[in-house]
Amino acid sequence: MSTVDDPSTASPPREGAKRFAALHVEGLTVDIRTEHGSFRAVDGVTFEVRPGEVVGLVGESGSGKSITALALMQLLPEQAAVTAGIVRLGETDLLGVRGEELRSLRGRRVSMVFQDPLTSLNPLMTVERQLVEAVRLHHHRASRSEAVDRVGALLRTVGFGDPDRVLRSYPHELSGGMRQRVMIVMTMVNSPDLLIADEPTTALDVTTQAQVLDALAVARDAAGSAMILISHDLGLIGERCDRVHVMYNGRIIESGSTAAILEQPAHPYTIGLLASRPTLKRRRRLVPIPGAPPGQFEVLSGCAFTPRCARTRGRQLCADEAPQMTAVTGGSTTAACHFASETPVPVTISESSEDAVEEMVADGELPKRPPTGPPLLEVGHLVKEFGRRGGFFSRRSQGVRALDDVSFGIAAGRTLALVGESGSGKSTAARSVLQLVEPTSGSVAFDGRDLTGARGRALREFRMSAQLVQQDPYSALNPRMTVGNAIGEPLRVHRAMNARQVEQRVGDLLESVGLRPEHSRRFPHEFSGGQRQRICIARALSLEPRLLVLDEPVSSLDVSVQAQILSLLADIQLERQIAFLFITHDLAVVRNVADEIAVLHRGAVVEFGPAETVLSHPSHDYTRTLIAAVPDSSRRRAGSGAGVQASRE
Amino acid sequence: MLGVTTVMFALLRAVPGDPAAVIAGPAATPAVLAAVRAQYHLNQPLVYQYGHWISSLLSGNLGTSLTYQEPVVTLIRQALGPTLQLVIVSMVIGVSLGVLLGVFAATHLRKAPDLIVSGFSSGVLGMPSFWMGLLLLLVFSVDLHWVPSGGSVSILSSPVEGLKTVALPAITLGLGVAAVQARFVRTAMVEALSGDYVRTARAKGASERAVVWKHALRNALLPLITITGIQVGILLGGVVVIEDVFARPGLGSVIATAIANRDYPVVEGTTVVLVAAFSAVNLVVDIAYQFIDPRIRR
Repeated sequence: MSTVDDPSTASPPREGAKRFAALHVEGLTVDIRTEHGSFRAVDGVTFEVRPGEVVGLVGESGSGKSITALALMQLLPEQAAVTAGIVRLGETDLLGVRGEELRSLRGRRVSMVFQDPLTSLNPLMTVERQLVEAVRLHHHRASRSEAVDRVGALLRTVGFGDPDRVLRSYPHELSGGMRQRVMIVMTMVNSPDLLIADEPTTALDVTTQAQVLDALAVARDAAGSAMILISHDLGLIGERCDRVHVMYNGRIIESGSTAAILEQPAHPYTIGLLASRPTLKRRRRLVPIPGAPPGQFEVLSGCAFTPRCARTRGRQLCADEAPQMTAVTGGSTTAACHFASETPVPVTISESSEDAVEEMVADGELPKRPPTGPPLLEVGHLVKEFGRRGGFFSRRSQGVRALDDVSFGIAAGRTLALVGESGSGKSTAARSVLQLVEPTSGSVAFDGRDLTGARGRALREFRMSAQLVQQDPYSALNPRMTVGNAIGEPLRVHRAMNARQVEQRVGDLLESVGLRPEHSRRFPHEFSGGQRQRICIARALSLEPRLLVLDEPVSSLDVSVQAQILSLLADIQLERQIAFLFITHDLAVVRNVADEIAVLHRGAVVEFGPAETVLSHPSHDYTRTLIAAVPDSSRRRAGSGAGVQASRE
Repeated sequence: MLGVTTVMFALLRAVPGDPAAVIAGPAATPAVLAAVRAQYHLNQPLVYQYGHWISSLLSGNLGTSLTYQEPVVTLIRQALGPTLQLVIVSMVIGVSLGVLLGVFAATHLRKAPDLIVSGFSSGVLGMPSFWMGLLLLLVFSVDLHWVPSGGSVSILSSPVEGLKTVALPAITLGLGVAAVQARFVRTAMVEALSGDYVRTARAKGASERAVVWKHALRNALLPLITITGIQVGILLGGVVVIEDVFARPGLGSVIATAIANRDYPVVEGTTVVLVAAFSAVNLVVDIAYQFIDPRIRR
């Protein structure tokens, strides 16, 4: 492959799938050095990717899935090193190649799409330069115009109507979805044997996500490449993969066909993941996996999942001996569990995996929803415009209408979900409700009192009864303040409590969110993401608010932790009858928490109604688009087991 | 600009010493001194002197030297060439050496080259520039006779001689610039090299050289543009000392002589020019950003 193929055909011949090589990974082990010593990030990972096949690696953060991918391309960060294992692509030893040989392999035989398309593209180079470079690095004799033709054709394939305009753009001039499609073109332009996609849509909006995944599928099908799709999202994995490997604590703990993993999971962790995942299909009580994954330096002689396992029941074998991957008797997966066959495998495989998992989960009962009462919060005809006033030098601009006649209400003890993509006005709505930004027009009434123009005492009283929980629990807590001070601060500001009373109350609050009172003396960095979000919730609860504005409270958390936080919130709401304004882009979460739904699109509420109705019988096109975009394992592309499938437009 | 000129004006007047005494010579009688003062408005109140100076400044008149009886503009024009030559050559040496050393250090993080570069930076920064200038002078001029020990020849009219005369002072100043640049380049490169787009470049098969020099360096140089602008300012200050050490004609020696002679118009005039030059450089820097970083282009 020294010259570009005929530029008029972006894809090599389909029967070319035979020329592709399979990937064998055996016993891959990666250690990472830190200042506190080194730990094992990937531990004896073994799997295979056949030519043209899509293999999913699924796991939560820290499970080792990204490190595995980076190791395959020798792109590990400096402090990480492969300490054992074999990785072969066809006849090539991927871990042994060096220098020029390695360079010519990357981007030509193996290439990789990364999570964040904004930072992954060079901000100072046009798309054309970056794409043409990708071609000419491996086709030295290709002229510039040949290369441009080639990437232009591929840009069309992934859905760009006007490739020339995209080629002339800089990355920052493109939207997130467009950038990621540019990345896909960059990686697929040399028709590699293997494409590794590491959380390719995690940083994108739901509707863009589907578009990018389709682009990925089309480009991959056109080239005939095999793919490793890495994700934390079981729905996405289920929809797009032929086979799945589930990773936990650096190991693959269960492998099988996508259908087998979703419908007959044998490992308690896989079952737990499925049970803790909210789905669009129906509202049910989520069953979180208790506890948290082991810390990096925790040395466990037995199975790493034992401390969280519902199945171990104190059996010594689990704590003593790490289980090996073995075919599950009576099941259809391979799992690393001493008692894999103990799982009650559902006798009939129902059409949807959710039903199957439901049968395995004992506690499927939902708390009763309180009836709707008079609205506690009432928002009427809210309008917020930005940038209306022209500056001294600038021409008078039209201004952006972030909120356009938005109205909704929430009753005590109930949850309204405000749904929309980034830029839809969700956060502006939240800030307007909390009186953090002044609306251009419209009203916000709380408990029957109009807050328009409220100042001083009235505003302070409202602020005490309406609290905010933000998306990123890392930046929402002051790193130099102890947890106790963070939670106690509102009490000192608003309640004039003395030190002993504050301490007592902080302790109670920590217990109510599942932490311990002695945690109050620690600093935020000592806690995991989920624990920090608990701390943020405790802080929000300290003044006994009647309204909680939750701005994407679980979006940055892992699935099993997300379930813990959602359950916690549900319990708190039930106990204290707090009204929730729940802002999210994730419809599956919405399904699980909302009583009513307001769908925001370009600043306007396009659909409003009871959750059940909106999700089952959406009346607005945009709502339908949103629902269709949620990855759904039951919608798995037909016959994807064969590998190379055409799904071109 | 106005602020700087005002402060400078006040400071200059606060320095003890009487320019009239310098002009009239040591044997002057009090009557002569008084006449000289009157001629140059030195007997007027400071506010009047300031107003007079500012108003002529605004009409482009920098006044007349008290010592040489020549227009300040003429003195500056004669001195500007050699100084400009020195500043430009110093910056070229400083920036290129600084970038090379910085990249070298960043690509060999915590290894010997990194330590050597950081040692070089500390060493140069810790050494007064006049002393380094004297050392260079002793070795290359006095002992080895490679280059002349002073004077200035225009590079444009005779490049070889011009470069020879500018070499030592430019290296002296350039090393100082390089020391600072190397540190900033190193930091910026370390960050750039850990960037996602660098990983992308490697993943698509770019050679390590292309990764470093094409992908990472351009991004790393962005924050350096500002620092380079500031360094030009620092360099303009350093020029005063170095021109003196190497007995080069130039703005620096003009200003040094003028201060000694309490030649107010010359000191004021040259300062105005230097401040204007510094402002111009920073304006160019701000405009340069627009061209280099597409993200702030409109």
